Amino acid sequence: MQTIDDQDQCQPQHFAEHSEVAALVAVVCAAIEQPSQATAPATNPAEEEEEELHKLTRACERIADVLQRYQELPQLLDRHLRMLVSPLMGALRTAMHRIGTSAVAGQPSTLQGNVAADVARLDAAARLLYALCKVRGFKTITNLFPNGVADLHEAMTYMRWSTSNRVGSAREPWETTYVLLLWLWVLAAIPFSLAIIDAQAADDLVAVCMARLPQGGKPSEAAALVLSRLLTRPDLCEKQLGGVLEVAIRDLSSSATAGASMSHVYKLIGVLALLTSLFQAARRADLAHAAPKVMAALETSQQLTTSTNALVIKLCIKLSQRLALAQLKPRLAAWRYQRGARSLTGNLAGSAETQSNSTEPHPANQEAEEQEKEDDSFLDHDTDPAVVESAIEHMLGGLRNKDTIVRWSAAKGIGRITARLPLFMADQVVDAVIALASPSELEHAWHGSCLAVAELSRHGLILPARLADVVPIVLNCVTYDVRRGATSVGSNVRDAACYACWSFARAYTPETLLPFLPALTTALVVQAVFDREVNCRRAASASLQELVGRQKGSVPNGIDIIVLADYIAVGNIRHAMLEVAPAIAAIHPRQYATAMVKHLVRYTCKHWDASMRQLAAAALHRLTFVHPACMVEPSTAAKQAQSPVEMLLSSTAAVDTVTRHGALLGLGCIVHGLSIVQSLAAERSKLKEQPSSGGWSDDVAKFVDTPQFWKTAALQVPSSTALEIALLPQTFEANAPLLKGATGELLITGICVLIHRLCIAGVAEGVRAHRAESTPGIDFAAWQRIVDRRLFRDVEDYSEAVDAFYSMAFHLQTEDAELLALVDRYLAACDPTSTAAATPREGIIQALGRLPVQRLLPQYTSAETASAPAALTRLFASLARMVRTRDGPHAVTAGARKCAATSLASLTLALHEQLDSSNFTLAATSALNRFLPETLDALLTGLLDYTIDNRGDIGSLVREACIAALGNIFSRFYNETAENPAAVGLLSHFTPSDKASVATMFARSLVRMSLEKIERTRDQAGQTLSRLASLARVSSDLLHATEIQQLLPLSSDIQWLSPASCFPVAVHFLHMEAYRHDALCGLLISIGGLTESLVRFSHLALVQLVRDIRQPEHCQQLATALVDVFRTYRKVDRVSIPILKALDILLNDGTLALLLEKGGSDSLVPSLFEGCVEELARCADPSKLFIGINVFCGMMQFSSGGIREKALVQLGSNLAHRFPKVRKAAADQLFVALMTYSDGLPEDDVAAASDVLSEALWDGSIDEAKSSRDRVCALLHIASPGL
Amino acid sequence: MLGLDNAGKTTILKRINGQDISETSPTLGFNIETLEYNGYRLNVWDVGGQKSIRSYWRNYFESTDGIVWVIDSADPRRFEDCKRELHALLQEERLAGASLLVFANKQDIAGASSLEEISQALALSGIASHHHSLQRCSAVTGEHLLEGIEWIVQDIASRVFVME
Repeated sequence: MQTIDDQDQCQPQHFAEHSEVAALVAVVCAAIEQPSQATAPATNPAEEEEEELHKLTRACERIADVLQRYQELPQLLDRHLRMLVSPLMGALRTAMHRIGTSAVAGQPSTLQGNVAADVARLDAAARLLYALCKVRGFKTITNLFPNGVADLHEAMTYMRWSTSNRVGSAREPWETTYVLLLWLWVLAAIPFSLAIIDAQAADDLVAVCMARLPQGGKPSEAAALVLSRLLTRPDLCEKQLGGVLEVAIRDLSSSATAGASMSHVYKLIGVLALLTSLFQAARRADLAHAAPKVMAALETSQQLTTSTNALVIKLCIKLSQRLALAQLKPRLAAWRYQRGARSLTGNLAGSAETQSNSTEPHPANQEAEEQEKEDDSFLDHDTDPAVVESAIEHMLGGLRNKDTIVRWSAAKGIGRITARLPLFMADQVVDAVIALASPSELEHAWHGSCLAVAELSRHGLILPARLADVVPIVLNCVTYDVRRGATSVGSNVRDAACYACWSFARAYTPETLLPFLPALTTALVVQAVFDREVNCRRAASASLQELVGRQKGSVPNGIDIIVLADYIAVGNIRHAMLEVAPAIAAIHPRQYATAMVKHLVRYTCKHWDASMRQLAAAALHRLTFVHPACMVEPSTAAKQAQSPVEMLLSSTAAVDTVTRHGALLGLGCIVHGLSIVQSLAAERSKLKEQPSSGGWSDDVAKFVDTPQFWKTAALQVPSSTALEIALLPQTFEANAPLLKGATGELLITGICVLIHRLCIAGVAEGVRAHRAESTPGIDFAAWQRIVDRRLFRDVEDYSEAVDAFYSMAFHLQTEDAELLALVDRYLAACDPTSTAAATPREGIIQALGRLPVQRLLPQYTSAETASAPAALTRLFASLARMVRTRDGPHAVTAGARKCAATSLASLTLALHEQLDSSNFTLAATSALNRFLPETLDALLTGLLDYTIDNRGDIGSLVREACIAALGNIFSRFYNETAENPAAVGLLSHFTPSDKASVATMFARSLVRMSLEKIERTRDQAGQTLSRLASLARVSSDLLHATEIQQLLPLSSDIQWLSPASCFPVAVHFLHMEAYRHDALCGLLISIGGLTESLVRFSHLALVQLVRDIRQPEHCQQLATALVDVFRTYRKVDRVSIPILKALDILLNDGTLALLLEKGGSDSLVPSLFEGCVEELARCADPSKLFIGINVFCGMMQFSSGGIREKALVQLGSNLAHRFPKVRKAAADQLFVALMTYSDGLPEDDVAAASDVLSEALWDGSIDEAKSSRDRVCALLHIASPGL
Repeated sequence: MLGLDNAGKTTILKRINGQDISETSPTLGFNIETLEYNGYRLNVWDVGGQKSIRSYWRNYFESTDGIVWVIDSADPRRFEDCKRELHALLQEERLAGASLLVFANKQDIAGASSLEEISQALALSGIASHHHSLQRCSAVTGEHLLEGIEWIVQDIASRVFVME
């Protein structure tokens, strides 16, 4: 839902930037109309011009950028188009005029000087006009082009100039050609004889356009338009049309042998574009005679059968359509006014006009009456029926084409041609169109068929009598979905079928459509909620809306349905399937719930997409509450008809794994749903009234109140079927080959879901109780083996198996000893000391975390005997050990450590829950007392897991899991109510070390991570910290609890993911004694990090903090902490390298100096210096050495205490380092440092040393470097390390 | 928007569009205006009516939903001419089915012919091929222009859209 809302908000509501764009257009136009003159006398005209053109380009780019945003909603621009187009066309005209006059004045025709600049301006204007055409469509834009006689003169003058001058490398950009041709297209409509305006105009125009036509692209399209308008003018029609037509026909028929090179294809496209636009623009009478010839040429060219170019085929289809239309008289159906009165006032007034409309005959009758006289007259006397026949053949072929644009064009053609045919022929076309949707055809043909049906229906050409044939075909297409390999095809067919339904809604009166409405609405409802593709769901929703709206009141509860399944609601598949579907089903369960269940069982449970099958099962679960009966009753009265449950049961034996998987999921969910319904019904009959639904989850509660529910609630799965279902897991388990490989894994997850649901539903228990002696029993060991198979394997997702494991352990009444044996077996399987490091443990560990602890606790009654049971002890010890075992021969993978941490927490919380149950209070208390220290200690250790492998900081998984684990434990334990005295203070009594409580220890790590570089971890740490500090009872155990609460109140809107938002706040932890060390550590890692924004904002935050310090002792504390942190992580590269980088930054920007100035101790710099020296001693990592060199250079700013000299010594030794790159870096950096920090040193010596540094060859031989180094040392008066 | 020259086509268009009508000269060529009315967008093509231009009218017939025919009510001498042009226009195949609004313009001038006279002169009752309506109006005062536009827009809107 969220994403959809966001999407809608992102779409612009109006042309917000219109004033900005208008201003930019004004700038552009001014620059084009009055170049340079407006500015001051130019000192350097060429440069000025260049600058101005640059400005022009920038403005143009910005305008094009803004316009692009409206590509999806171009009509928003409409109110502002005139203010954009008119000035641009004015500027274009001015530029053309200037170019034209200079050409006439006889200036050199090369593209130089003013002309070149004018041409560049012209092109800029044309580019913008093209951008407008692209966004809004050229027809709308050209309506705003000037169309006076004088304009024709300008355009022609420029065109002539351009034809002879803009050639070769100076060729006109295609945008300019396109816009010019579009303008000429507009001007060609001038209602005066062209010969009077310009004797040569017509000939020149035809020549230019004919030359441009075969070159392809947008200008070619525009050239075809110009020609079509020009040649159909009354003054040119007779003189020129014939000749051009002949050339075109010749080119078309010869294209069969012309070859398939791109230039030939372009030429062909040009010819086809010309012919199609000619036949559109001309009067029928003018061109009808030519149609047979063109059709013959089209057939000769064989393009329709041989071409591989979609555009060529589309144009051929279009041409063929136009040729047929040229042969057929248009017919007007008088009933056009009968349907679809759109005026509200007209409807309300019930005026005379409406009445006169209603007396108009029904289409069918009308047609019948007119048929007689039409049959003879649909062709003109001099036309050729063969053309029409070929065209229809072409259209029907086009409907099956593999390219969508061809099918669309053919569908439109079918609609238009058929509209001009007499009734009996039109009916044959309808037959041919629906025949395309047959099983032997590919999905393309089905799609084309739907499109054509929709077009025919929009033209009112499918007579009411034919609806009985057409509707079932369309309904078939609504669910068309054919598996092709791992996916399926047909979403376009379903989409088009919805379009056909939409057009039915508009074309027929409610009386006509009434018999088909239930089927249509049911199919559309099902598709609107269950289709996998969002476009199909929305198409179905739109058609539904049209049906409900136009078929006035014929759809019962139609408004309720379309409100539930509106455009937004069906946008999210989860929401559509799990919320919208049950809600609609509840309106008419007999109609909708039954149809939905049928669809889910037939199609969605067998869907190729696993997540669709899961959703289908979840939807079935919810639909059970709406209409329980339909799950166990056959949908039809036929003898062999199966109920949905039976159908799914037989699907479990299907050949296809996917079908089996879906069936297993579906069965599990239905059985579970039915068991809830049953127990509700039982409860109700006991109480003789409706039970309060409070005890049930929300989705159940929503439906149990409906009367239908209670009518059918007593239904249940027949016990024989229930037994069959319960036997499924062992049947599968016995069939070992079935469970192998990837498909086997899929089946196993399906079985796990079934086991889980069967356990909750208590089906196993029921079957056991009612089992007859002769029937086989349920083999629970087999169930366990299936679950084990999944858990002991290395896979991505264990959730199904873990759920099944838990339900079996919790719901099945197994012996305690059995359970204990299970725990031991699992512990042994994942024991790090006895198994290999690579053992897949994650599933086992997750399962252990879900163990029902109460089954492992003894029911003690007195405190004396309370001691923790052995199984739990082993469980906790083993999990804690796994969290800790990071390396060594028995190392546990990071993923498994993460699972172990999560499982530790969930077991702890489960024990905590038992404190409330009267049977286990004592046992749980003693167990917690016993296990908490070890658990907390392991989790706190996990917070320091910074393991790095080839996947990067993989330890972050463990840290995050530990944050979540500790966070959950704390919020449960510290939120204790006073009614549980035994549990209060379990945590506070425990201190891992003498110094700090466990809460403070936890908070320290959180503070560190809330300032570290990984965004996700920072977010989790920050939020957990804020929740921790707000817990009611934590204040006594947590140091600075109040301050943290003030800094990070629960209501704060800190964006932890954004460095700009979180660092300025979190940096204040540096002022809290207990957290200063950890805060500084995290912050320095961030400052020395890699991401630009991370470094910038963490650095800024620290600088600001230092600037704001008022008391010297704060500086003192900060300085001490800095030295301290540096020392703590000595030689720990993960921390120490970022610290060195951070030091470099802080030295360079003077923050360190500022800290000293404000009261940092004198020992700060010497300590840091010594730290650096130690850190870099015997270092062989060049990148670390480079940072070290930078830091030493930065240290040179401190002239007191001999720091500069010591730094020079260090740098000196690096000048003769064994790595040439290090020597070079040291020389470069020292050279720079000497320029900045040489005050107090003799100037001449510094200058001489700088010379040596810059001139000597440092990355050459070591000896040469050594001698140079000695010279530098001597000049700077420091002892050379080599001597 | 068609009619004989000096019938007032451009003035009507300008008046509807809220432009200054004091300076209107004979249309040399054509004008295109886009208007918004009641949620509909009207693309109005106003073509000059001089005798020499009339043969070019046919260039503008593509996808036409409605024709606004304007007649100068105060120029009865040319009614016959006007009738001939109108009926010739209605023969045009590409205009088949288009709604026809006849504006009897210049009703503000004393001595303008009445609607009955004009209807008779143009033989409007004989037109069966097109939905049509005769509307008295004055481009100068602006009266009844809206009623005419309202009629033609509603007539076009109330039929099923069959895209030709």
